[in-house]
Order: sequence, then C-alpha cells, then structure tokens
Amino acid sequence: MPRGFDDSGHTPHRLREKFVYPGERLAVEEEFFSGRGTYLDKGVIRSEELGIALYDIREREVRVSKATREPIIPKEGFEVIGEVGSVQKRMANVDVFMVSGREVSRPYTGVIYPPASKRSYRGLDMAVRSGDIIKGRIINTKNRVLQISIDEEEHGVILAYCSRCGSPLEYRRIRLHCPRCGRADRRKVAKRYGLEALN
Amino acid sequence: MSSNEEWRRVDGRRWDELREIRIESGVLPNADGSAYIEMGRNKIIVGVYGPREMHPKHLARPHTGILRCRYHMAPFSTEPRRSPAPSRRDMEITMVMRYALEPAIFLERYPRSTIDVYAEVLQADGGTRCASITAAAVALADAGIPLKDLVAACSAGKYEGRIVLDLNDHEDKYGEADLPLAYMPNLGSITLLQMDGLLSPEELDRCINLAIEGCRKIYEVQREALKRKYEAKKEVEGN
Amino acid sequence: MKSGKGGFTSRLKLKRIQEAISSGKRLDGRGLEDYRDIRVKTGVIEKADGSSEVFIGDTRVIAGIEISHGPPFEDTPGEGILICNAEIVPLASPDIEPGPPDEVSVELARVVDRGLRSAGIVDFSKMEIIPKKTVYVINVDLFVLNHAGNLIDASTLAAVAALRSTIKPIFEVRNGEVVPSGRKEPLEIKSTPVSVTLSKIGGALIVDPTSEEEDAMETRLTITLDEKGNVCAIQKSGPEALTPEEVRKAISIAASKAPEIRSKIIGGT
Repeated sequence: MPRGFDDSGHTPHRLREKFVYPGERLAVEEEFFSGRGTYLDKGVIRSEELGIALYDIREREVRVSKATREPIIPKEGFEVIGEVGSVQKRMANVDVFMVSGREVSRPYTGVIYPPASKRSYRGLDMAVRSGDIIKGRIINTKNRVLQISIDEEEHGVILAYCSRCGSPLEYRRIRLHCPRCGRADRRKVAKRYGLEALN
Repeated sequence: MSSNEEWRRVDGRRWDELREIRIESGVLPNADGSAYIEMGRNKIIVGVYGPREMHPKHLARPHTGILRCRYHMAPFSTEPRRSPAPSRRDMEITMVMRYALEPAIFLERYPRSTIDVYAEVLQADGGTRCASITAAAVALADAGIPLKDLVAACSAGKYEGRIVLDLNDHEDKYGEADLPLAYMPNLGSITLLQMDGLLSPEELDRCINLAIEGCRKIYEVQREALKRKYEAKKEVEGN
Repeated sequence: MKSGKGGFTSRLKLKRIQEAISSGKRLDGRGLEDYRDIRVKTGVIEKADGSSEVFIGDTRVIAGIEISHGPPFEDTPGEGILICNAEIVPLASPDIEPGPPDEVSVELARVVDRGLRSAGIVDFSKMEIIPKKTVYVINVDLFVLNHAGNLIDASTLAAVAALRSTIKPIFEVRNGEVVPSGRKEPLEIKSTPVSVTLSKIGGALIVDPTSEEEDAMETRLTITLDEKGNVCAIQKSGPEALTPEEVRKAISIAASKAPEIRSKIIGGT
C-alpha cells in the first residue's frame, strides 16, 4: 500500500518534495516545525527516515514519509491476534503473531487477565483454551509482556479446536460445536468467530 | 621519496584512494533489513532483525531498547581457514561495532526490545570491521529503523612511511599504523576510533582527516545503494 | 504472504499446510514432488580453494573448501580426511540466536558428510603425503545465510558443487617436512552424490519442504544417491514413524528426482 503524505485532513501546499536520507538537513527551527519522520538537533531539523521530505507551507511543517518498511512496535490500543498458550484461572499466555494486521517474524509474549466486569465467565480457563486463536487489544505495554484485553464484542476466540478430537469448532447459537465428534464447548467467542481472514 | 602524486600502492591505488566498493541493500529475504558489501576483496553480509521482543526476557530493559551486534567470520573467509568458534578479536569487534552504531539509533523508543545486527564476513581482506559497520548502517536503514544519520566507516594509516587511505590486508599487516574510524557525515561525529601502530601527533591528525574524507565518499555509495532500492520503488508505487 | 520464511508458524498455519497437502496441494502452489528454483554459482569466495553458493528458493547456502594436510585418523591410517562443518548463522532466520552449533547444524554437517564420504566423492586411498603419517585434509565449511527450509539438500548440493570447483594445492615433502609445492591441480572428483529430502505431512510425502512445512511435518527422510542410482546415505529425522511402504516410496521418489537436481551442477559451471 502506498503511504500517502496527506493524513492531516487538508491538502498540503508543497514547497517541494525530495528523496532524503537519515541525517539529512531539512530546515532550521526558525523556518519550520519538526514533523513526523524528522528530529531536531541543535536547532536543525533533520530527517530520521529514508523517504520523501515534504515542506508544508501552510502548517509551516516539514515531515518525511518513509519509503522503507515500518517496523512493528506494539503500542497500547493496537489490535492483535495470537495463539493461546498455558491457561490458568487468573491468567492466560498468548503468543502474539499479528499486530495491527501485520505478521511478526518472532511472536511477542502477551498475557490476558480476567476482565473485572464480565459476568459471562468467571475464570479465564472458562473463556479460552490452550491452542485457541484469539483477537484482542493491547491495553498495557509497561510490563515485560503485552497485556491484552478480549472484553470487546469483536474480541475473544476467533478459532478454537475440539479438546477431544482436535477438529476446528463451529459456532452454533451460543456454543462451539465439534462437527466431527459432536462435543460442545464454551468460550469467550468473538463476534466474527471463524470469519477472520488469517494470512 | 618520490612525490605522493606519482607513488602507487601494491594494488595500484593512490595514497588517498579507496578500494572499489559496492553495496547492495535488501539481500536476505528472512531478515527485516540487510545489506551486502564488497570492498576490495572483502565480502560481508549483514542482517538486521527488530525491533523485536528481547529473548531471553531478563536481558530486556524497561526504559530503553538494546542494540545487539555480532561480528563473525566464516571459516573460509581467511587463508588459512579459521576456526568457526568466535575469537577474542571477534568479540572485541562485536563490541566496538555496537558502540559505532548505537549513537545513530533512537533506542529509547523501543523499551523492552532488541535490535539485532549480525555481520558475517564471507571473505576478509583488511578493514572488515569498517566494511561491516558501513553495511550495517545500510541494513538498519533498510529495516526501516529511524536513524539520526547513516554511519560510514573507513581506515587510514601509514604504510612505507606514507599516510594512506583504506588499508588492505597486506598494508594492514606490514604497515606502520592502522586507524579505523566510523563517522556520521551529517552530524560530524566520530563513533568508532581505534589505532594500532605508531604515529606522530601530526600524522595522527592527517590520518583522522583522511579517514573522515574516506567516510564521506563511502557515505555517497551507501546513499546510492539505498536510492537504487527505494527511490525506484517509490516511483513504481506512485504510478 | 511470506511462504518459506523462517520464524514462528502458528498452529493455524500448520493446520492449513497439512490440509492443503492432504488434498495434494501446497500453499506456494507447488506439486508435492516439485522443487523450488535451484541456482548454483561456483567460485564465489576467491580466497578458498573451492567454493559455491546454492539457492533453493529463498534458502541460501555458501560452501567453502580448504585443502590442507594433517595426520590421518587412527582407524584409517592410509586414507585422506574429509571434514564437514555447518553453521546456521543468526542472520539466516529470526529463530536463530548466536551461540555454539545446535543439534540441527551438527546433524546437517554429519548427513552431508556421510553422503560425500559413502559416495566416495574423492579417492581417499590416494591422499597420502607421507605414508601413514601425513595426508590431505579436505575441509568443507557450509554457511547457511538464509533458512527457508530443506537445508540438507541445499548444503549437499553446495558441498558437491564447491568440491567440483576445487583447485587443490599440491604438497610435497622436503627434508622430511610437508610444504606446498606451489603447483595446483583440479581436485579429482569420483562421484556426484545428491540428496533428496522428503517430509511426511498430512500423511503424504513431499519433496523440498519450506521452513513452514518443516514446522508442520510429522517426519523427514533424506536419501542421498550417487549417479549410478546407489543409495549412499539415509537419515530419518522427526518424531513420527514410517511404514516400510512409505520408505520404499520415498526412495523411488528420491531416485526419480536426483538426476534433475544433479543436472544443476553437472550442467552448470
């Protein structure tokens, strides 16, 4: 997907655009504000990206749209998809393999705690099982692991496997049902169970 | 002593000439960023992974990211063959490489994370630490990691009584002094400085200036390598 | 999306790989018995006595050869020595951390080594310099630069291609000491073994697995064959069992694929 420059809601008045390299001098502090993709060093605005510099006259801002890949850095509020590891009543571990729709090359470690307000399930071991694929939102990145919430309607288990025979479970009314062995299972199921496009 | 203008080195270069240098970015499909450099007969490949979660986790730092480097030589990179186990030299270069690159990276933006930079020397011909740093900077940019500047590295030294730029293996072994230096060309900062040999203060000064000149030329090659990959790509996307 | 990329493969993806293969397809569109593109270059490391670089899809391996001399092994005093060493360096995959060689790289080196040795790739009995005291030593160093699966086939191919390109320094004895004579000659190659690695996934056998397919596989079987069709090494690796029928089928697939792979080095430079 091409990354546009214009996410500020108005058409920028372009002084000029040019291909710039990290460290390249763009302007001085007196002329422009230091925008996205730039940094300030002793009064000089420099590019911190490899990309295209854009001077926005109206906003008096210079910014750089990067031409390279965007590194994946999990932040609070981002949606994630992961595979559930070990599950206890008060905690479940998750290997997060997608952050904001992008696959990561090495999973981030995440953890789900039981939600305070939900009455539909008490212990987490009733909500998720090891091996489930869940979708959730990062609510805290301050600790060593990402804290993930599955409270929202769209969040929770998006794919589960039968604990008896290993087949993918289907969602029927309020329960997950195994089409092969007939076992019924409960989970904190996401609204779009089984419908998420997964790479 | 004949004039410096006429004098030629063992490989035919002038005193202030770099070896032929070629850099290519984005050469490893698995890595997040990568670069390959040939500098004279040096052949080095660098891969960057990250920023990513630090493993093992206890090494992670809560308020900053960590840059981890590894400089390593393939057994077939030297004559005679070397042991595959990392040597003391590899460990030292690993460390100075980290110090050479760290000032360019906004590590404070990646708490609990690591950026891993792996340099593998496939063929060594003198000046591998500098060529590794030069390639690593290109690989970091290729990985999309914001940088304060690129880092270019090059050595200067003294061979047969003359100050020369970019020592090859022979000049390194039989010369009087070798001074590897890494430089952020836009910021004018030196991030690697080592010296081995004997130089007068005046010669040392000339070496530093010459190495910085060399870094400026190498910086142009780094830019070309990145431009080849990304400016062309940008145009394709635009159309 | 990034098929063949090393790294974490979720259970979900593993299931999809297994299901596809059970129905005769693969996620990258290949047939079960199709290799990815194979490219072989030689002479990539000028300082080595022989070298090659092999690409199988995104898997990339460099091999370097050094010919030196040393004492023979005690149990084979009249024979030369061939030693394989393999490193999967950390830039090859997001999974690999720096450190001493793990069991995967040790197995890799040993399986390649056995194939070369059993095929008699060189005439070990003609490698003495001082009878029973000093022999030629061939070091084969394998270096994996990008791990996208099937390292054994890529490494065997790289080792054989590098040996075929090797110019051997000739050593001679002067005043009881072994010294280089300054002369060189091409290393005489007696056979051209190639390995074919099969993975059993979803009950079916496939060749040339990607690293994701390797994560999904139940078991793996490598068969190395020489140009006469003799089997010169076998390695079963992986947790699940095979039936004798599956083994026979694997050998016949390997025998039918081997000439195609061999043509990449015999036909090449």
